[in-house]
Amino acid sequence: MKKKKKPFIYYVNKYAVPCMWAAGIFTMIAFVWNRLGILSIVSLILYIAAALLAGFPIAVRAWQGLRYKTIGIEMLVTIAVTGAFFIGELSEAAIVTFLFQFGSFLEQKTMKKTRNAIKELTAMAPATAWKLADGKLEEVDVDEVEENDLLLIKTGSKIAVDGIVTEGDGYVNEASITGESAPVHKTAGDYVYAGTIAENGTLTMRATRVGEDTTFAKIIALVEEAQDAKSPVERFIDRFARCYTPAVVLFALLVLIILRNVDTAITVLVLACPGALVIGAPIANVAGIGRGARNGILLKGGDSIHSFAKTDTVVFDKTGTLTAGRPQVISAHCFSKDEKKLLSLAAAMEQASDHPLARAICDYAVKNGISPNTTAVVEAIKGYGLRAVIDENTLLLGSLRLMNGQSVTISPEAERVLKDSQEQSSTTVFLSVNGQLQMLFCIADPIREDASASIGELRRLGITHLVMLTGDNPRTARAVSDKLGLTEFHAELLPQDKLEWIKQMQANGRHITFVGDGVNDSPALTLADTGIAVGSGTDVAMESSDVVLMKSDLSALTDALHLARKTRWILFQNICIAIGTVIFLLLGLFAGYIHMSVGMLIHEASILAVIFNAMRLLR
Amino acid sequence: MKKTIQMEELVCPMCAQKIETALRKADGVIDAAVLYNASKAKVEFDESKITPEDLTSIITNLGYEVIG
Repeated sequence: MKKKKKPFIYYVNKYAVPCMWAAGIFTMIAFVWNRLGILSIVSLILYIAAALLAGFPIAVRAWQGLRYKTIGIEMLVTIAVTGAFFIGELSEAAIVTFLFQFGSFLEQKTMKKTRNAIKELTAMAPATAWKLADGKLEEVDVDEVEENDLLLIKTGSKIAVDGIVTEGDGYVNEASITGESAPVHKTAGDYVYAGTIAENGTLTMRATRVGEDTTFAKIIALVEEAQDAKSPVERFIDRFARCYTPAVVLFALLVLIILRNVDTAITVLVLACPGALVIGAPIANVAGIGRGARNGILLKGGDSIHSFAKTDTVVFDKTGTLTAGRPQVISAHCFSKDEKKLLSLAAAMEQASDHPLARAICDYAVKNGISPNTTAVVEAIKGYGLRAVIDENTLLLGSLRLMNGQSVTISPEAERVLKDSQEQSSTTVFLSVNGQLQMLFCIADPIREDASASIGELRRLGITHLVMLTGDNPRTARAVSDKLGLTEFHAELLPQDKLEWIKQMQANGRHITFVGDGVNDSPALTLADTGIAVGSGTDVAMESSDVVLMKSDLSALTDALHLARKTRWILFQNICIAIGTVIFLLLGLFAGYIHMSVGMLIHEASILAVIFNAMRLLR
Repeated sequence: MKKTIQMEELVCPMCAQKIETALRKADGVIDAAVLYNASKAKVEFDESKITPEDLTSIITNLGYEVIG
């Protein structure tokens, strides 16, 4: 590579920090020397040298800013220091420039810490992958992995790209995506994410998303964008700061003309620097977003944080959010001895079907260690169930109506189970062999384990309206709502009806947060003041929501609300610190207590105060 | 064409503004955005008018190091 000559400004920036240290030492020696009261010319020279060393980089940056038509803090300081030179306040000039540079230096260090949350994530990105091609195993750069490549994941290694497990069995730590450190079991057919770690077991996977398309890459891009997304408050402060600095120059001029006092005029310039004000609000958001990202909570910017923090109504989609979203066998009742055999027959009949109830029965069989080995010729009786003949036995599997239609007798015991099941609003599936009722399955979409605790927590956090909107029937909806203690539910809704309900609640002046699984509720996610997608890294969910919870766990919802509120509170504190400091300094100045160097010290201290305050969010 | 340029840590919001303005002004640049906290510049440009190296040198001429 051709080595280009580095521009002058590069060296100015590069040596700014050593220059600052030298300036600091010079200033200190000069100060002590001055006390000795001999050869005062030495201390004067040292002060001048210090002011030049520390001040030159500031002046260069001020000049550069002017070329882009901005009057920045550097310009204020440059004018002030030049003024100090003219009135012979050399020690002030040296101290102010040193403090300003030293403050920026500390600011840089602490800012880095605050931004680190996201840097830690980026560092987790894997570098290489083991590619399986033509029966050979080869280590390749992660950028070379293409879709549909077969990759081997060794124990302890990082998964390079998103994909589907094709073979093997193992536990994967998905903390980098979900923030949940308990390992997740993965086997053939399961989805694995780039950046997660295979803790044990060896897996083979087929790559489905590579490069910038992986969930991990998207999370990082989203968080980076979010940290720079400005809230209206910040935009206002930015605009304000842009007019503020020129206004300060004018004000100082005015002071100079009216009071005829250069000292006071230049002190005004230093004191009124908007540093803490400009930094205070964004740094709180950066810290809040970084903290969230570490725990699988993606906040999409200052705007999202503030509208979410204000929320008083949380609207839930039922299926997949409050409930598991996949029907499960809650209980099975067998009326003969050979339950295993019957279950395997039922599974054999259902395995070809992709009906949710059929899937529930197959899942249940697998959970009980039964894999159906017979393939049955199955005849579907539409809307009722299935009929099959296996080993010369006629089997019926389906609804009560199917049993009644085929005159299968329902025993009193079965009747009782049926009644209980109906009360719990679950669906019942019957199995009969040669006209004899043998088995009964109660199937329902179970409420998620964490839902109840999370709803209680939301209530404690002062959310007054907890609403459920569902397309499901009113009986099921009521059962779920009663169990969770929701304040309101609306059932049998079409997707557009859900939007109408949200609009109506908004018209009543409520701040709505809509929580969905992000699969097919993007209009509602967009419409609500805050849209939250739970447990989903799908593109649509990421785009249409304001908050994405990577963990499919409702406890993340309350964590996110805590975080949003805390971030907003810290942001408010920071603005108070910044404005308070400026007011305090200006009052002190006109009361005659504060000089330029003390002013600069307090000013830099206020900047560090807002940064440290924001860093509390990272703990 | 779109390119993301990673710079050294940006420490003042003004720096980000400066870089963004300078990139936008360059001939052939369609859109430029500087992500201050990530210290990244996302530039959309017409590759027949300006090369990625030109973009990098715009940033280095302002006194900021380009990492990747």
